[in-house]
Amino acid sequence: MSAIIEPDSRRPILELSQITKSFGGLRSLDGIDLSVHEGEVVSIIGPNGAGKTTLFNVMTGVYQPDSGEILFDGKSLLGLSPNAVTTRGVARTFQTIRLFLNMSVIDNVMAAMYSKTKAGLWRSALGTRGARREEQASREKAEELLSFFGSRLMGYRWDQMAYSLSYANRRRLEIARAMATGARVLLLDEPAAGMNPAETHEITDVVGRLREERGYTIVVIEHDMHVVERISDRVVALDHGIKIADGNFHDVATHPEVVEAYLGRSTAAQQKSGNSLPDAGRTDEMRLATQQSPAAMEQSGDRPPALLQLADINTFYGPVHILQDVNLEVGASELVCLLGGNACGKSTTLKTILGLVKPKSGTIYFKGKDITDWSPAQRIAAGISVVPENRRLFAPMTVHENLVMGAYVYGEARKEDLDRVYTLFPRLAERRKQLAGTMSGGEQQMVAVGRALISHPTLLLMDEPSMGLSPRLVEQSFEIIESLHAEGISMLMIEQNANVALSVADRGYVLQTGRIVLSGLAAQLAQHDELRRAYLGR
Amino acid sequence: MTNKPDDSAPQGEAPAKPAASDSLHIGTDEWVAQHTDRQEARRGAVAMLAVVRNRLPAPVLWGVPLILLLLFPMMANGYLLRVGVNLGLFLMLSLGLNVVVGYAGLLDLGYVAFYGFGAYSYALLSSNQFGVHLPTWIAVPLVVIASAVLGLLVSLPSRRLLGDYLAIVTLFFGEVFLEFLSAGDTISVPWAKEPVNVTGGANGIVSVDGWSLFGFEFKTNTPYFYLLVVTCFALTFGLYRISRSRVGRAWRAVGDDALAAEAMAIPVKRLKLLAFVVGAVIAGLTGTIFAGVQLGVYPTSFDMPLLILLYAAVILGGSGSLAGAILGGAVMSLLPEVLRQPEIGEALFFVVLVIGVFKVMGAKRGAIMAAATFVVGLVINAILALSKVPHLATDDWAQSTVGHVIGPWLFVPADRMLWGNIGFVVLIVAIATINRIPRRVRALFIPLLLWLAIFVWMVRLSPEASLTRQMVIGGVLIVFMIARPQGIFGKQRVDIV
Repeated sequence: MSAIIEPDSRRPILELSQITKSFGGLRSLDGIDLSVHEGEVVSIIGPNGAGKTTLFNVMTGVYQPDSGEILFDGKSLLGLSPNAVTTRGVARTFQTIRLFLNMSVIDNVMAAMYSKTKAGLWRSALGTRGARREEQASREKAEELLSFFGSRLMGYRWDQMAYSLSYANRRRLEIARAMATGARVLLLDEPAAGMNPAETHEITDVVGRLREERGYTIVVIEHDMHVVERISDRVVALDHGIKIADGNFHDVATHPEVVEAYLGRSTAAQQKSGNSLPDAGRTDEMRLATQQSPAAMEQSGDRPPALLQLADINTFYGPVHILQDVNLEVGASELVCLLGGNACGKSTTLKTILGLVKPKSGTIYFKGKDITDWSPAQRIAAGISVVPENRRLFAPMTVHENLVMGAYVYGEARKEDLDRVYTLFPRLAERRKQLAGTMSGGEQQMVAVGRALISHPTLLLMDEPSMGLSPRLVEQSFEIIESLHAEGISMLMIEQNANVALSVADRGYVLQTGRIVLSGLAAQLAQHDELRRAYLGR
Repeated sequence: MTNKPDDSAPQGEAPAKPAASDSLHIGTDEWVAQHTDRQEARRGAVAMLAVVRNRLPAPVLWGVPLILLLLFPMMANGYLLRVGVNLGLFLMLSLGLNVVVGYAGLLDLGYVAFYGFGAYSYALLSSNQFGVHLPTWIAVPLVVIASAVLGLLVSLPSRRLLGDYLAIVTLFFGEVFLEFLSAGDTISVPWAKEPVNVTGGANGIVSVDGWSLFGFEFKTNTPYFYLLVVTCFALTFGLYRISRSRVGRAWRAVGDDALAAEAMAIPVKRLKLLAFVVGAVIAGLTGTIFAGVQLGVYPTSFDMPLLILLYAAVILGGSGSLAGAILGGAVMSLLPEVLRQPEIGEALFFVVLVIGVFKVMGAKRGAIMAAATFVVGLVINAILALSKVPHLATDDWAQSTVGHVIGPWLFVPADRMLWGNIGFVVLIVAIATINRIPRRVRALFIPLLLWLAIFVWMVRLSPEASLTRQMVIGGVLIVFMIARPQGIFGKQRVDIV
């Protein structure tokens, strides 16, 4: 446990007292006190809907609190617009990365220096010496900031558009951009969300270096308790807008209320025993059949006949060849996971199966029928259902209406289907009248899963079902997945959390740059050397 | 292994095929790293155009057009010079609109009103309307300042300047302004008994003074042309610098993600106001030149069609791209002019049709379709000739080279109006239903459809240039919307897959 750096010798740089914020009668934040000292790394944990992101929004001026005070460096931040707050010295990143996607990497960073630079319209248009010098200085500063992330961001050309960055690099660039504002306090909202274990490890180092090398004070919202453990001087736990614990990692992680509300039993047990990841053991006997072509590791024979089959699928986005000769099968009652780095074509595979993207060549079979030319609606009616990435809920509709929409192809939702979803997710039953858009990320995820189940699918496609969920909810959602699996629903799942995915799945495929490079039984994949290095973080 | 993507950083000529097949590099981002190269590696006229633009050294890119433009008035006749002047005015407007729409992402539907405001203000300050004859060097700056103030006043009430609201407010402003122009000849004021004639109503204001700078009077179109060359170049150059400066970056950031921009210490509202005002100033300045060229101002010059053409120019060129605004502006300004002659309209129709067929079908199937269409034409010729429908000989109807070439092939009935109308309706129904025909059978119908399209165009539409002009422009826009939604020089907005 790292000690707090001279906690009492300095005045807190950021001090929140009795912050309260309600939305339509619902108290998102209720009397929050929080002080952050200079050079400290404070993590905020809590179940989905606890008010963590709302707290960030209040701190950065996106929302004004109903009552309470926020002091930065002794001065109040209340009433300031977000840009003024950032100018004072508190910058943030976003849970759902919000880069300027259609600007170059370096422009993203330079744009954030707006408030620290001066050149106006006229001086820029005339190209005065001052303006040029300032521009040059900004560019050098931006390059220096980008080089902070080492070879990772260096590998890209900095005049490349931000959209061409991988997911992990977008997170890095977003941090670089926040640094460029000249802020002294960085608020990082789930910096490790959606990253695989290897990338998560790196981001952990980055947070440490931000403090050690650059002297930033950092407040982090994070669900991954290993990350929280490694980076935090202090951990604050929220639940229902109330601070339930504040202290060092160990005290907070073992605090009964935190365990109850947030961690769930098994995670807490792991924390206690110090054994964080299921140890698969090092058995390297696994041999790849061949490394040139997709390596088929499964024994042929005793697999059930394929419910879904993709044969030589090639998919293009415009001129870009995404999926290249993809062959993939999901058997009846089988749970298959699809692994791969970001932007390797995982989501495209799901979109192709669902009919949102038409393959240029290849055939898709479902229940033995060629469905390549079918519309998405026909496919859903035939029994394919999806939990899309980022949930894609109907935000202005209630939870109940969202669920009912899932049965649109049948005309009406069957009562027993609705009941089953409400039994699976009691939280949704409580909130069936709430607008989906006003729910927290985790609750929205439940709605998305529920909506997919309403149409009674034979095959369920899931795009990152655990993203943005608290450890307890991750545990729960995998329990749900396992119980659906036990019920005989076939599933194809994309999941960054490769450890857990492989522990529940029957088989797995590994996609890389649009090709399937590995496939096999989940247990075998879990022990594949290269896969372990890339995804399992050890 | 994890360093692999960095080592294989894109080198431009890297082939689209990933080097992944040699060994496993699970978890690397190669695909992403090569993204831009794959985008750039593709071929096609537009890509080549972009390459040419990127490869040319700056002196050539700027100098050659400048010299050609300076020589232009000596070679051109009066009509061409007038077209050139209109082009210059249009380019300035599209450059200004590009700041508002392309950079800051504001949907300003009242843009043309600022153009009109500039023109009318200049007219009021330099005409017999009120007997005020300010010298140009005073009148123009005054009008520009007034345009800025007006821009600020219009944008302030829609304080947050959110997309739809701004569009409605500005659209309203534009319409009210037009209404004011046409009704502004009888304005009652408390201090005068008779209503005052401010705008001249539907007749506008005539006898506006031409420009006069440093003792030089702008009497013909030639000096205006030179003036516009100078202003267009200065504007392009200034905007080019601004787009790469602090303010330009901030504008693009606001247009891309306003909330993120706000969180990165960029004062979003102020920058939106600034973009709006810059647009108003450029439009106002252009208006003063326009009033001088015309020696008069009329309400009809500032109504909806101009706004639509301007938006078409900015979108066609690629919203947010300077080169795009210029190219799009040139196309949208010159195309209606060129299409006045049916001959060019006909040629353009066939060019678009052939490119379209080959682009959609590929070379081989395209050639088959073309041949099949040819056969279809001959067969229909035979059938209709046998059925004794009265028809015209080629020399009776063909007005253009294209017409003479395809004359023997195309059946042109004597009653062009009737058959053309029937064909038109059938064509629309056919286009609407073709997608419902199963893919495999569809190929059989396409030659028929192509023949019908040619028939309708040559028989019915081509003789009516005023109509076909609009249709060709609309067609060009639709083709672009499908083939290149980001515009000619626009950067494709992409989200990662």
